[in-house]
Amino acid sequence: MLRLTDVRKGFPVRSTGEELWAVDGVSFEVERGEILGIVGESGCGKSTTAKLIVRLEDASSGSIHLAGNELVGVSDRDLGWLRRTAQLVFQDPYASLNPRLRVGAAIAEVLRVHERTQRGKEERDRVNELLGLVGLSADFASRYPHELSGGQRQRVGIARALAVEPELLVLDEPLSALDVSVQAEIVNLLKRLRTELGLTYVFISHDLGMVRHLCDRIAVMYLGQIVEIGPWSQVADAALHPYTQALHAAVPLPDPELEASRESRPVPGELPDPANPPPGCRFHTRCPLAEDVCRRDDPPLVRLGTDHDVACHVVAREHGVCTDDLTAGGHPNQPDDPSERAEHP
Amino acid sequence: MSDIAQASSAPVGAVPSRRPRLTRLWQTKSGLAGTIIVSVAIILAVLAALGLTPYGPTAQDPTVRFQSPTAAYPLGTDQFGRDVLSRIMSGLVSSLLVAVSSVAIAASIGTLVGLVAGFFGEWIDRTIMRINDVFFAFPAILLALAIVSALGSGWRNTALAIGIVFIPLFVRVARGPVLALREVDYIQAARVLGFSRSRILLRHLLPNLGSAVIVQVALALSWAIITESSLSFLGLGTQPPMPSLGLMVSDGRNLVGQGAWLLIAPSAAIVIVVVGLNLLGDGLRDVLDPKDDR
Repeated sequence: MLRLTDVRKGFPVRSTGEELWAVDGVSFEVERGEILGIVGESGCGKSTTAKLIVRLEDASSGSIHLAGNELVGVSDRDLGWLRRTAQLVFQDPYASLNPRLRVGAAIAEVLRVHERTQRGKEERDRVNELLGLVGLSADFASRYPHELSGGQRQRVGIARALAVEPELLVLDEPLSALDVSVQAEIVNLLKRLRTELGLTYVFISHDLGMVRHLCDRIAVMYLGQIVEIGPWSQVADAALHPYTQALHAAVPLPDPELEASRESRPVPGELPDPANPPPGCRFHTRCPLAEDVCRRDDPPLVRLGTDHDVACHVVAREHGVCTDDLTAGGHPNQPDDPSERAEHP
Repeated sequence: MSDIAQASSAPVGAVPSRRPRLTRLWQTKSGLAGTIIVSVAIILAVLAALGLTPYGPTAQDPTVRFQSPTAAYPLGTDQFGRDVLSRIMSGLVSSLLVAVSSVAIAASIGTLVGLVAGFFGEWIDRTIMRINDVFFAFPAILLALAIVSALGSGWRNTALAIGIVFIPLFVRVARGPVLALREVDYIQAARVLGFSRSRILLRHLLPNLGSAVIVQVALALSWAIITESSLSFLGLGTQPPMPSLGLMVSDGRNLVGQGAWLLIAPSAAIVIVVVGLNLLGDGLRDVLDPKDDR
């Protein structure tokens, strides 16, 4: 359904004239009907990845295949099919709806642009049907966004995205602006929509706890790269990468006594400057397991379990996989020499 | 003003804090004062346009030359015995006519150009804004003078000249909010949803520029009246015998020894209308503050 291959996206840094690689060699696949979660701290490139998939930004290099078509480098004019295939649900439901358009008009506009229905009764019926699909009654059609709660607005945002009848929904932190009780409602709504409409999701979040309730597979990003990717049960419950483990430690436990007795292992230090990432493994400045090799070589993603890939020298060695051969040969997905990057602006 | 419709057609009780905006305008001092002054000026102009002045604006009566203000002639008479009040009322007609048409030209063209510059950005934006800066570099009156000299005088050409001079103001005013709005989620959402550029520009960006442009319209109207009066004063605007405030000031200046009111009355009329429009603009800005735009 969706395949990213060595995707990179650089933004020029005005003060230095250098490029900031927000997404730096990301590769993953999403099967039809699957839910892939992407988690990571702010600034790790997960939202940029979302924007690349719906082509709000064009990737600097690499390839993004969606439903058999290439996205990277294609002109905006030739992307009509993309708009009907992939849609984005935004993080902030208060900013993602035009304040001057009634809910019904906002949804009907999408139907008109994509000629999904005839004007008139068919259009009104479809608007009501879409509202019903996201759990809103038909009288919401005549409301303005400012009359709606955050959760209701997010439902409208989802209804608009569904109006084009997409196959893939990219959800860019759709829960982070919502109350916890409302978050659960939206997660349940998304689960139901996937079953009813056969949708595929890329679900972006900074909350590992919420992602495990929804996703089939989880990718963990750090400074523009994927450090661990695999089935949710493994990434969520048997994480191998030290960064993923640290993220788990940051999720509070529901039981206060258990939470109090738990050994606290916060990630030490600050996120390094993404415009000037550390050499070798990008996580080595904050990693409890860091060794010399980590300061020198960028670890490639290696398969350490069923469909479970991890980018870490130390963990790979513990699993009997030697990463040296891979880095020496230059893994195609992981350009490890900074001077090599300068040649591909 | 879609906002008025928006607030009043919303279900009762849904938005208790929202009052129709015009009511809020009248609750600010400057808004109320501005509305009253501008309304009076418009009423006087409309009466004059309908021929309902106390005397004919060009009717001469040699028996009453240089009359001081009296009950019969509230603002006195001039060297031909014409009623100054009637002439000021007629002068308001041409002043407002020129001001409204010129600002209509400037606002429609300038807003569209600013919209395009802000939305497309990059070289389109840079080119438009540099040309804009060139226009800005000329003093408004100088540029207007040049255009009127090229086109010839008369109220239509005056309106066109002032309109062209004021275009850059609206380009600036429209471009700023567009730059900010372009990155707003609902505009990004419109792009992801595959809306065409013209649809995003006209249906999603333009309506959200309303408040900034409306405030600018009120202020530009006052500047247009000053510019029109200045051009008429210099003999390049409205031509005699059509009455004009600028022409009356020009005439009054020569006759100030015979009757100070001949200079004071039209000058005061200009000042009052300009102040009124500025107060109205201030009031509108307070009411239409983008901060409570949602």
